Amino acid sequence: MWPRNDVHMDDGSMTPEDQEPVTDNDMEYNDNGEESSYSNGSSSSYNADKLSSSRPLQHKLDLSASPSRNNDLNPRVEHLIALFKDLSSAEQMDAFTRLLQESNMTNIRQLRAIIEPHFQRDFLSCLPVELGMKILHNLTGYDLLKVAQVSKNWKLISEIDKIWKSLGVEEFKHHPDPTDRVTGAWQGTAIAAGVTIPDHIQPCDLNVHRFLKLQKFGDIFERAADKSRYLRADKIEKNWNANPIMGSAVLRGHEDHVITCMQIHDDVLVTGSDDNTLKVWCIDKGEVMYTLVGHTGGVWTSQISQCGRYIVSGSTDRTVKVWSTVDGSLLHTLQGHTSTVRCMAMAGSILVTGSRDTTLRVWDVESGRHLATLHGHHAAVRCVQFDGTTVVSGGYDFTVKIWNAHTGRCIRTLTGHNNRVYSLLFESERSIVCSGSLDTSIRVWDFTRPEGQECVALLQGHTSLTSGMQLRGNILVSCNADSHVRVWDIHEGTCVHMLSGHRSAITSLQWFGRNMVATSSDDGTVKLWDIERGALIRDLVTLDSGGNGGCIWRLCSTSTMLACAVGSRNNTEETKVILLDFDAVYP
Amino acid sequence: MSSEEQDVKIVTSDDVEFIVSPKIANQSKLLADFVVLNQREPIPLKNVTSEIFKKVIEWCEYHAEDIPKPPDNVEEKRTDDIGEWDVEFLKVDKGTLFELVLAATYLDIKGLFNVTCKSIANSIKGKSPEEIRAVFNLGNETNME
Repeated sequence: MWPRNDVHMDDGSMTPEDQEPVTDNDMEYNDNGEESSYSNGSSSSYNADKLSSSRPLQHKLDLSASPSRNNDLNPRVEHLIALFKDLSSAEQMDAFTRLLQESNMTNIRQLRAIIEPHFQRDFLSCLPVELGMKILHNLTGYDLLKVAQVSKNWKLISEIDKIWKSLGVEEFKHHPDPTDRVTGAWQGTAIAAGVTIPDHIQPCDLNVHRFLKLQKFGDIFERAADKSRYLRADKIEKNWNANPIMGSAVLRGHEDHVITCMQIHDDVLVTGSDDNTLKVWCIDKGEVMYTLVGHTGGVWTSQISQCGRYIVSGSTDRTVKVWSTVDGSLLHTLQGHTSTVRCMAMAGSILVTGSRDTTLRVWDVESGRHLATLHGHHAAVRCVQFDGTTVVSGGYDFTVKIWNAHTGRCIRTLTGHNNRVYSLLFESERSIVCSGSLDTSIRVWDFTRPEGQECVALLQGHTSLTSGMQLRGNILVSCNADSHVRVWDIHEGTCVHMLSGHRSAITSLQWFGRNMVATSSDDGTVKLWDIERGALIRDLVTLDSGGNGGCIWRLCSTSTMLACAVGSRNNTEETKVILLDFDAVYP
Repeated sequence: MSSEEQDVKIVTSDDVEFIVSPKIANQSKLLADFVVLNQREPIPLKNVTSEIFKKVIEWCEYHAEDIPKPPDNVEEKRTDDIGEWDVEFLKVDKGTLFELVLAATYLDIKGLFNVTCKSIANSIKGKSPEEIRAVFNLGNETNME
């Protein structure tokens, strides 16, 4: 205790001595330090006052001097440091505070630059990689892309596949591998006299694009495959929403006839027509593979089996035909209906067909056997859905019927519509049926509820026949002959959006991606909508002959391609299928 | 007597001694084992300073009565579900936050670990690469692509 005080006293006594010589002159201090200090120490109180008043100036000079001098050569700075080290932590803090108060802003700014880094951390580079990954797990794909641009280390950590794999399904969308779509009909475009595809790439730029399209797996895919998948999915979505359309094709066939039905399975497109034939097209190659000849009446309905091996068609000749997709050969002709086969649905290899003869029939398409006949409707059966066990049918008798496919028994009849039922949806997991009718309404049914109480929502607002619907969760999208698309909440029974833009009946609807819906219309256009915002994204196809007979009969799509069947009933537009490509490569 | 849980003694890396009650210690899987063992010798924590350990204890005291979450089979994606108290607790400099992540890992306190990771993720979300560099003090020259 005593020795420390002694040291402190010595330091204290030296400070005034140290400062005084500077006030007078350096030379005197250097030559006669000891002698001068003794002499001045004993001098009058006037000198003491002078020393006290000059202290702030001394401190400023010390601080401002240090940047321009080597600290090791400045005895005053060294002296100050030595004093500082002897202080307690609390005394040091007090000294710091007072020094800052005596410092000018230039020095304080320099101090900030020195101090601030101590409070920041490059987390991802300093933490163990496993912990860095835990932090990145909390980010979206969009943020991960930003992280990759921060630094080399951050890029390396952000591209670890496990992080991208853990992104939710919604963000990590799955698409089939990149396609070709540069041969056959794709060698040209769908742009032609009378056909407008807004935002289509200029034909002269197509060659470069087609070359790049064949580089299907890029650098990112090789080093970070799942990030590459994310980027491709993001690009595909932008291709639909905003980017120029980079490829299109025209498939010509069924000349001068109506394309009545169209389906896609993987890379196979099937079109049925009132020319009595179906055509099987290879989408990627842009060419027809087979023409299925055999029906003696117009084809009005068709299906591709889930396994992709069978094409099934129904016709005004009252027959159902089963064809092979492998070679286009006819496998079975299913007879029994006594009038036009108007609708069908498949689950596995079991087919249910609905007919104008008021019945539905159940078949095994592999063996060609007839399994059951469902009697009960009093007028034509217009639409049917099937989950493998339960059949749901809608008819011109205004009713919706629920059947057991195995026993052929009608389980339930849903009444309430006061005009023909034209469209159906069946979601087996929730026992939900949605039916659209010429009475303009859409009804939502739960057929597990007590008889007479099955109708859980009545959706009103459309002014004509509902031609198509799709349901996800509680959101139903419907398209109607009144030219409008409506988005409904079936739980609330309310219309969330009404989408206007088409000028006549809407013929088809397709919902893909998170919130994108494409619609085709008798007005000769295909439109793409955002059903979350309730807005038009853009027109995809526009026929000049729209409004004068040109119409788009059918629409279907995969996640990377859209097909629409084009024609007219008065020969103003040739019959064809227009394909649009929205695919992208793995970057 | 032997069935009663005892306070545990902790010595941090800077040789400061703490006495921690079982309800606090049991939130750490590392320390919970010592509670069960009824160990009397002080437990050395060579990786945690006293300053950080005080913060950890503060967090554990507040969350002592929390109902344990069911184990997640799916990685949580939300970072906007940090409670108000935790938000204030985590308004510290990045150096302290850094040490808290390491301490939560070492002591195996899952709730504290999750909330610190989310807090750091939140300072990345929605920012441009330049903004991220500024927040985390990544110089423009070193470590750049």
